[in-house]
Amino acid sequence: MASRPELKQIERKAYLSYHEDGLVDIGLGLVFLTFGLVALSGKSLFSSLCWMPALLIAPMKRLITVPRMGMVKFGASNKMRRVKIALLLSCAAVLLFILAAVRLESPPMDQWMHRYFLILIGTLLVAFPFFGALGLGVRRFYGYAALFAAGFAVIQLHRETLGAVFTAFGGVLILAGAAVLIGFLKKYPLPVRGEDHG
Amino acid sequence: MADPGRRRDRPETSHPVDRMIHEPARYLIMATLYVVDSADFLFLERQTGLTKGNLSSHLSKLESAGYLRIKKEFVDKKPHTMLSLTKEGRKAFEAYRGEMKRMLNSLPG
Repeated sequence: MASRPELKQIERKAYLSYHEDGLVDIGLGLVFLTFGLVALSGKSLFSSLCWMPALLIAPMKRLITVPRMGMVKFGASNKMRRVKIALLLSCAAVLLFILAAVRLESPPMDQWMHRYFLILIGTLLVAFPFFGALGLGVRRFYGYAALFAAGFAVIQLHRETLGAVFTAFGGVLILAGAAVLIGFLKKYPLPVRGEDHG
Repeated sequence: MADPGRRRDRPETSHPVDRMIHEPARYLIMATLYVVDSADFLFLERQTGLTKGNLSSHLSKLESAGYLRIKKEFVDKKPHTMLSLTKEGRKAFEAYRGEMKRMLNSLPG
């Protein structure tokens, strides 16, 4: 048994190989890119539609990943992991809320919000990839967390760079996702259609 | 493949280790299906690195032992076969792991 792969390793391999297609990176990259370009153009009318590229992830997964990797439904342990990540993120959000509530006691509120709102959003945006990396074991998410932290520090210092920084986030995520996707396509070519072994 | 529930190939042995699971390829199949709810043939092929014929043969044995369930379903209006461990298969896998750990722990040194 000692020479056999441990269940944790097998579970990690199963989970990562199914999700290491770069599609989430590309989808989120498109969201950032759209938001950045909308911010740069100054047409805030379309900013509420910026999340729409994220809708492409699921169909792309069905079109690209499933035919190459096969289909899998992850079980209770992964659900537990997702619950843990959600709990961690909720704790982070509650902590930020408490922090904000304590600071907001001293008026004027809008001034404080104007000054620190981006830090709050930035902290949340850093927390997502960081806890994602921690929970799922995807190391490049640490890089995204560092990138978001640096980006939001720049935005905090120079507000006018928001559009450019978000466009850069989008560009980096799309490029990284494309590199991962190319690796995935090379590693898992389309199988030759044969008899149904099921 | 044989009907689910048929257990004609279950090895009759007094040895505490389940030889149906002990075989490395079948252990890998069982372990992969243990950590997921269900998976199809291609996913198992990718994860285990077994050839189609080899994988098919091991799946048949596990199904005959009553450890594997085969479920036909429709995905995007196309028939699709999903494989999962039966309740008995999960129990057998846990028992096997427990027994192996116990045996290794009891070794001197």
